[in-house]
Amino acid sequence: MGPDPLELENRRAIYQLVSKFPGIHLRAVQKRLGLQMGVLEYHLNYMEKESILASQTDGYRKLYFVREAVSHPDKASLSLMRQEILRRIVMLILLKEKASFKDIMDEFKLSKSTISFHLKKLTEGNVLATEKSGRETIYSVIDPEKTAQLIITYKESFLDSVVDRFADAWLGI
Amino acid sequence: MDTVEVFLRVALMGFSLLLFATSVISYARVRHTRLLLISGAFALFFVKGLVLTMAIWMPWLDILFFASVYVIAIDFLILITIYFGIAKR
Repeated sequence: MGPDPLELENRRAIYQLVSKFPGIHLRAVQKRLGLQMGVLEYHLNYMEKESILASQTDGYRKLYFVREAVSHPDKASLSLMRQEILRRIVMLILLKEKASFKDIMDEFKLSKSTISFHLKKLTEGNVLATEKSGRETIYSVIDPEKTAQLIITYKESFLDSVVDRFADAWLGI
Repeated sequence: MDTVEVFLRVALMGFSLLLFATSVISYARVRHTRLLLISGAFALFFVKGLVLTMAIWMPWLDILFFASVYVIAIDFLILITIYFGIAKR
């Protein structure tokens, strides 16, 4: 079963906080993100197991750091994940495991041609695979684990957010 | 030329350059033709702003450019480019 996007959002938030404050301890993460302790520990354990984060103790507290050697994604996938709309489409498909064109259309208030354009980019970039089911095209994520890790570790820059908003404004017309 | 006019001419050029750069980067990432057309419109805006700014020091440009059909042609081209940018599916 693929990862839950809600979990991905939480993991992304944890990852970004630990990147910003290397050596942050468990209670501080919990206080800043407002997650339940059990949920937070579950995510931190997962991210340590997946070598996204590392931890060490200073005697009585466990401190968290981002591992430098997170697996390096290929440039094409990274470039695609820099666009918010593509990340959201991929997260929807990760949640559903498989999604039809209609499922994706229903979720995003964008024109058919814009959705097709984005899905074509994701399939050509080898992030999504397609299969035919009757007259419908069904989309799935080719490598859910790698893609989920990419979404967690991706850091949005100021330029990325400006470009996202600019492209959304013009493509949404 | 008073200070406000100089400020407005330079601001027009600076802001159109910023929007042109943003649209080009957006096109480079998204590769949608609509963004290419919008980049073209902002490029034309930038050209107009550049001439306006250069005319601060070269007043003859004002006479040559803004009292001619060129400025109407540029405005028309900007509108046409934006129209096709919006109409493009």
